[in-house]
Amino acid sequence: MTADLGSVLAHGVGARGDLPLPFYLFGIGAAVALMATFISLSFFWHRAWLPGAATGRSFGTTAGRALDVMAIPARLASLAVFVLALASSVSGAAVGSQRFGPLTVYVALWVGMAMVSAVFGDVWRVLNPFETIAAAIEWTAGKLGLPQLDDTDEIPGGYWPAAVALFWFLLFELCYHEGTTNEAVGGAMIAYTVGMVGGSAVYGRRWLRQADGFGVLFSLLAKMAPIYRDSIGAIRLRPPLSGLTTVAPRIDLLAVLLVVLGGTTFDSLAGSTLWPDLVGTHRGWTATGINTAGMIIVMAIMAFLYYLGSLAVGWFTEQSATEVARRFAHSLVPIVLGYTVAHYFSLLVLDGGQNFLRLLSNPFDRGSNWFGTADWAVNFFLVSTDAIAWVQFLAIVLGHIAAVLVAHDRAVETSDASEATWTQRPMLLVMVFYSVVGLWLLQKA
Amino acid sequence: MRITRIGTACLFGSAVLTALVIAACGNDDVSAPTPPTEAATAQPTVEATPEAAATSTASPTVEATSAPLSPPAEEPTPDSTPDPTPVPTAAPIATPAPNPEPTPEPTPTPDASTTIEVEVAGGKPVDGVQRHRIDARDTVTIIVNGDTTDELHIHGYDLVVRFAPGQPGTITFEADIPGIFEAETHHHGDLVMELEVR
Repeated sequence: MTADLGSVLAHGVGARGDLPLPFYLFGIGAAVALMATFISLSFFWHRAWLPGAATGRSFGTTAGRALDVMAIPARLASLAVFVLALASSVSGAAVGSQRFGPLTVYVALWVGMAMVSAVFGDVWRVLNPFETIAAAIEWTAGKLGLPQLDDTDEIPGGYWPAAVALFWFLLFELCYHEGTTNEAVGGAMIAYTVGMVGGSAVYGRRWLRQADGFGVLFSLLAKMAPIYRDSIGAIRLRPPLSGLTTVAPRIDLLAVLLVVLGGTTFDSLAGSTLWPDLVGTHRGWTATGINTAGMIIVMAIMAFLYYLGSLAVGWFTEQSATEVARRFAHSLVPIVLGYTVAHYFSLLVLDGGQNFLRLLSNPFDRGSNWFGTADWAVNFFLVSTDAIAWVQFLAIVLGHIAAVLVAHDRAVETSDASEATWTQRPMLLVMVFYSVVGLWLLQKA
Repeated sequence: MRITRIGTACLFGSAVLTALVIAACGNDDVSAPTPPTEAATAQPTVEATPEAAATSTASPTVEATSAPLSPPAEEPTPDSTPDPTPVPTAAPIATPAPNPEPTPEPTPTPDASTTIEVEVAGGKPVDGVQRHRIDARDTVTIIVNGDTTDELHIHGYDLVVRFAPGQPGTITFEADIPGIFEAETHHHGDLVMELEVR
């Protein structure tokens, strides 16, 4: 197929859109569930419990070391997939209408890794091909007797480079009219690699911790996971969500979360029936411009609402809005995950994920079948449309409930439960608004 | 404390109210742009289609597309209409009810057929982008009239319909993948319509 074929898909690489949700019941259900959670927290959750639980139970360093050994083949496999995707994009290979490079970036990385991180922890830190490349360069430099770069301090911009990287990624995926072509994805992968490796050459590997947008986002999502590695490399189990209390209360991390939240919400809007009405039949650069404006506006609205909520909470608690915004930034992480699951679950399990596995055996369209998956036909019935609708609904509702819970836990650190409930009401309204709008957009799908 | 409870209750009420209002706004949903679905075009020339159904999901299936390039001119359908048996003699005597229909003939989901006609000018749909609702497993026929030579690509199903001025393209397939699918012109890259299969 021609390259322009995938150019108009708002959903990155998916050829299929989800059916609209029956909103009326779901919307009310979500609002009621949030309220009920909020009110019961004021009765039953009197002191901050999550920070203490976040340390978790150690399984010892032996298991950690075993994992380190297993990580080596995983690292190499991940690097191999990265190189394959890049080579496939550069070669311009397409199997039917599917292309391996875009599938790797938009499905396996953006959707797959996000969900894996939230369940299994910061896996990306191991799989990140740039970490592997940087480690290889570092090792070589060490052999040559070159001085090691300082890896301790923060880079000058904090996490802002990550927020900017993610913004550009979303611009590319959701706005740029040719963002899913081989040429575009291949070029972007090369540019990103240059940025990551070049930055690491100047600042050391801390650059990857702070400028790799994917890495920063996945490490935030990984804070939700019930499993993590502590500073001495031991594996520890902890209650889900409790790790969020260890997220640094920083404005730049908040920016990372709001960028992703706004981007995903915009994707939902763009996939709804509302957006074509606005965009009309514009295509090409005009569509890119309209989409870009739309995405920035949606991000601004989401950020502004969060700011308003913070301002109002701060008014009750006599704190500045930025102070409040920082303190509760971590509560946005479950919402980001919820939105990601709601919008991309079907893409991951149906055409996107299945095509990724299919093309993994045949990335260059040369008839190869390395892993025996090349002749799979996409099974669109792997998950029923009803199941997808429920996953979407539950992801959004549970994401917001988790957010309310995490925020309440932080609020009772400094005040008693009923006062926390009182002062947190503006944030609850923001949550209700987010969730209702999220479901409403899915209803308009 | 007291104020807290009351305040929370007020908040609860107002938020539910807000949700209801928004829900009501959003509830106009669907049904607005659902042109010709099933009922309208149920009977006439259904017989011709199911062979060429081109149901395959993975392959491009170009061959099944626009071979005709002209409306397929309903087959004469020579059979079936005149009752096959001229009711030989026995009818008046023995069986009082000529059609007792011993076989219950459940006819589960008659798999209706849907015809969607779309007109394209300069790559864009003349009547604007519309969403067509189709029941899963219906047989769908899409007829494209256009003022340029182009192709309509139906995503997900990965089907292509060629058409040219004065030569409408048609394609018939079974709508066996649920979801929402965009259809767009290749050369112009314009969205022409959406299919909602459920």
